[in-house]
Amino acid sequence: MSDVIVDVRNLTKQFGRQLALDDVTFQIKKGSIVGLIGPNGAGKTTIMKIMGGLSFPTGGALTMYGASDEMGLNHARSRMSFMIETPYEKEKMTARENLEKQRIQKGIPDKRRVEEVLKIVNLENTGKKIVKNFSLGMRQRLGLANALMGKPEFMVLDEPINGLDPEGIVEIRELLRKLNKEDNVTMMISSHILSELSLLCTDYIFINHGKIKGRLTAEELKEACSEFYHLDTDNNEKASAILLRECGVTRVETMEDGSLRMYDGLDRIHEISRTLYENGIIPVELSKNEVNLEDYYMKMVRE
Amino acid sequence: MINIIKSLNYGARRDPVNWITIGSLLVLPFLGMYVMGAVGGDTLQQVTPSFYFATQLMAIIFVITCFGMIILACNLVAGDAGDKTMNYEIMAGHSRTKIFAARMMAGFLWGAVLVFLLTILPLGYLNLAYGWGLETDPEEVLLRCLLVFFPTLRFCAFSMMTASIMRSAGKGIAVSYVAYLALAMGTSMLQELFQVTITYQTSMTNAAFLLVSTNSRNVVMDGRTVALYDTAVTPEMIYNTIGFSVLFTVIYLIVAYINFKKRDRD
Repeated sequence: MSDVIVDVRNLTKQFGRQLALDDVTFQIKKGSIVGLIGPNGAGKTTIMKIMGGLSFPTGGALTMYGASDEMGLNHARSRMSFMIETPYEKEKMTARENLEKQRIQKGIPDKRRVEEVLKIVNLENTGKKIVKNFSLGMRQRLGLANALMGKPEFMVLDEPINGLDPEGIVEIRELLRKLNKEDNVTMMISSHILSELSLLCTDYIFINHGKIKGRLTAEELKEACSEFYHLDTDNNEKASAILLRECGVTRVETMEDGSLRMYDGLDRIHEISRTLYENGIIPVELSKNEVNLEDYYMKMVRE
Repeated sequence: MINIIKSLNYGARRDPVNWITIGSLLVLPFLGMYVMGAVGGDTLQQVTPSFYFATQLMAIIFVITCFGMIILACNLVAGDAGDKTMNYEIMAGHSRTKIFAARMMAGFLWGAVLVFLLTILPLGYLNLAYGWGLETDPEEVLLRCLLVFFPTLRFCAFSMMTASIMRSAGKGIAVSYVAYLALAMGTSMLQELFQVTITYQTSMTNAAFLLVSTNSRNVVMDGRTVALYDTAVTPEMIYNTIGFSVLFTVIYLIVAYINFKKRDRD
């Protein structure tokens, strides 16, 4: 059986004249945690809504768990859970009542499941407090509890740590990691907190203006996000040539401001500095840096 | 689908708006009877259900219970669309057809059936308290009350269609109430202006036709003059009431279903 559980092919969504999704194609493999990254209005939520059945695509095909017809997709959705945008809850009900309503709707026979999920997200002591009086973080936890209710095989989470305090962020991250490792739950997560995504995701999809800008695995990102030396000299053009010709450096990038980025030979920096100096190059700035997910994202989005 | 209905009922039972509405529906007819002197110690007269039907029930149906039904039905059908909790049903893999059908069934259950029961409740109470009375034939009155279920169903379907399309209980209630007032006033104006009789064409006039009997004659009984109302139900009334009501209900439901099935949810 194929490992691919979601196959999105040439998906297009148009709202009036606005093209929200433009020929989007990607796949999600079982057991992966996919980070969906893009600025506001990039089309992340639209993709999630189409997967959840809330929106209909204008074109293209969506296959989930091998099904692409309406009935099959609905069956696939019963194996999944979604938390899209701000969690939707009944404001005048308590957390327990909201979850009980969802338990009934999903046909989960075990009434204890409500208490279980409340405990998982640390909301078991909210008592009779109605959701209207919940903080954003509490609502977020309740949304997650809702998503966990049916013991899903695949979770689609839109900004799951939005509004959580630092302790809560760590808690939820650990919870998601545990679900992925122990129960092999596949996840698709969008978040603006890219540092959090980089701690969790196995795959990344970059999207902007409704188009997929890039895809890479965590390993590829690690490679792409390697350390580098930022180098600014009195003659960067000459410095670049010397680095490549005499210092054994294979990858040097010239930035927009003329400064250089040197990606290899990092362990020989003293030797390289000496060579540059001997060739009459005076370094003005030399600092060790790292390209992280955020830099990569900015690069992708700007392209 | 049963699970969705159960979950809707669970939510509806915890919505204070529904209980305030039902409480009002229960209290207001009795308040009306109190004003008439039928309830309470210092009674001016004893109001029999027979007399109550002929003179008051229509007003209570029109003024109170229909508005209550609009609130209940719209809340059931679109309350979850307004706060988006209905999206969970779609995302859980229930088909839109089942979600729609479950909502309509729950809406009818809470709206039309409850209001129908509340309508005949005062008749039951008065019957227990004072006996039926002379003015109307009990079998005919009950048959008319049963038939009123159909225009009620039709108006309920209209309210649910409005709420479903507008995806907001509040907007649905507002539009339905305006439509209800427009129907009530518009038809009477049309009838006056053009000297036409409008009966089955609108749910309001159909209900009024069933609940009002102006054809009465005075007879002297035991030394008292009593107005006896003609409440005979003709086969034409039965067929037309059921036929028009079912036809319009189906049209409203189809329009609402097409909209529900095809439209993106925010």
